[in-house]
Amino acid sequence: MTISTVNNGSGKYSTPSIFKRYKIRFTRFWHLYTDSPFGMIGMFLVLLFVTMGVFAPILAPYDPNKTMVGERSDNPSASHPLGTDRLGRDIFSQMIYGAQISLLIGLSAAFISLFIGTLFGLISGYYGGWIDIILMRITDFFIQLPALPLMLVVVSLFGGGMENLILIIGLLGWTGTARIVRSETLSIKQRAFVEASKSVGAGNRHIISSHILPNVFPLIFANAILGVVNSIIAEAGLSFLGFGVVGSWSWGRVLYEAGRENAILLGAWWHFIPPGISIMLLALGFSLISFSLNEVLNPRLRER
Amino acid sequence: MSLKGYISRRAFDSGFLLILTVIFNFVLFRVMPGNPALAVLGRTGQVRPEFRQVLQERYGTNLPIFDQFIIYIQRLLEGDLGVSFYYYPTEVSELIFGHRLLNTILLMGISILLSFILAIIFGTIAASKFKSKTDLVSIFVTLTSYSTPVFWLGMLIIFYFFGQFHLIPLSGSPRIEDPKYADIFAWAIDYCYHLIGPVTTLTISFVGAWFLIARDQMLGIFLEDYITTARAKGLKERRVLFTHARKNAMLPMISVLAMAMTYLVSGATLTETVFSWDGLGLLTFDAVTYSDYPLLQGLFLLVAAVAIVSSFIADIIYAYLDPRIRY
Repeated sequence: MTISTVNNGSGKYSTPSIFKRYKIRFTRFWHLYTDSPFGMIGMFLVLLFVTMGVFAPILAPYDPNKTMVGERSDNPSASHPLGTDRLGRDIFSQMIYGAQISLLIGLSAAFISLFIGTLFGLISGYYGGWIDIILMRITDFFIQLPALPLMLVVVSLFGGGMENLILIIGLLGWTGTARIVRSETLSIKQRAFVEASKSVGAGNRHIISSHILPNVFPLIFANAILGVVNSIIAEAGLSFLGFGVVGSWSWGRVLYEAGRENAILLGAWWHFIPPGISIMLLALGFSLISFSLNEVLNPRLRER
Repeated sequence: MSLKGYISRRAFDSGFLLILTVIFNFVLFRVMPGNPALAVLGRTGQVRPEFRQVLQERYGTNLPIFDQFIIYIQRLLEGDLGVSFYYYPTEVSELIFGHRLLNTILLMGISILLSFILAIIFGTIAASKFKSKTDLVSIFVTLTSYSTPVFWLGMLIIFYFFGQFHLIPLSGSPRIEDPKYADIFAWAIDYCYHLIGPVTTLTISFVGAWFLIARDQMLGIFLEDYITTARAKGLKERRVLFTHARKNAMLPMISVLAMAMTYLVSGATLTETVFSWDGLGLLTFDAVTYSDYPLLQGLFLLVAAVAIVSSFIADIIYAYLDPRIRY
């Protein structure tokens, strides 16, 4: 995108402010994005679950931890739309609160991955040489380790809990980002504007933060959103195996409880179908956004 | 760089990674909270005092950490992975390299092969109809399958195909030693019957992950000149697709397959748990549940080693097929 001058209305052409340049870029991007039906479906799904999570205390009819004696293992009814579990807790309320945990863990873990991956990629690609070799060896090492077994090992050593879960998922998901950022940095640092900046005496830190990072960012954005999908699914898997956050309800934990109560064999579909569909739809929402972003931000695909 | 030079450089890298993995594996199990000397013995109170004594002699947990590392390496070189806590006094190597390894390799091997073929076929078809309805629908379907937690898919398959339609058995993996089998064929048939559920689950999930990669590769290749030439020559579209284009798209898929090789031994913990498939994935789950650290350490080392070796082999094949890689 080469918008260097705009008509400022008085008939003269001038270079627009940075703010204006970004606004133009964003408007263009937004038009392309809203054209994509996948992107819009994805955004609708994500907003739906964000609303569900934010307003959970209002939307949920009961406290998800409240046990109701005399209403144990109930079938769906008007007062309990998805029935109750073996301790008499309302499954529908657990589902509503589940959106909070899944979103929280998914987004924060993906943010950690994005941060580490970008840092590794930028440094590795920009400085090259020995730093590049060492950092990429570390990246290779983590790429080759299978994620779930490693997560299980770490959880069993350091215990579960919200912070640990976010850290574990985040610390194991940055390798893809690091690779992409590195290769982008390699190509951007060859461009003329970086050379120009160097020739007027700009420092490495300045070049990285104000020339390379802004150019790398759009491309890693789609990748970062896919990181949210992976984190949501990883959390669900760990919680399903019983290593989730104790005390708070995630969809993975609802499924863990359903498994313990033999809901499948008892035919209690209301206990395991809705949480699974929720995980699927939320993850699908982010996947669709990521896919559309890739199409919009990756010009190679758009030109075809 | 010659192919030989490239191989020796990659061999050096892989050896380095392998050493790093061994060190990582040693350190990881000693940095856990609590008394580091007791770490290898599991959390205090979970191990009976009598074999704490035995283990102390064996691992030298009362010695300085560097000496412990030397002992660990010595044992490892002798092929000794230690004794399981939970299955005491069974050796870890005995637990890993037995029927469980075979179960996992069969389950994962069949699923990976099936998914690989399906992903390439679907990817080719979708790419050839770029931006058509077929393309969009298949993207939507595979994104959905990518977003579906694999264990939940397994639960659904059990619910419908076992619970409602009675098409598959509930769970488990038949053992050949079981006296109820008259001969090896009776066992083999029952074994395959039990494989249907987990293989279906894993295949759907793998295809979801690989379809887009295959499609992307094919799209890139359709822009190449030799495809235009092939079409201009008047070759049938199917021939262009499956002989000219597919061969070249296979190249990057090799690295996908190399990643999948690791699953051959890591197993699919979630799927194996849902279907009670007695493989290494289920063993990992048990090891974590019972804090069986020596077992966990052994499993982890095996998986990491296979990951490193398979990526080394993939790189060599890749460099052999595409000389540009070597530079």
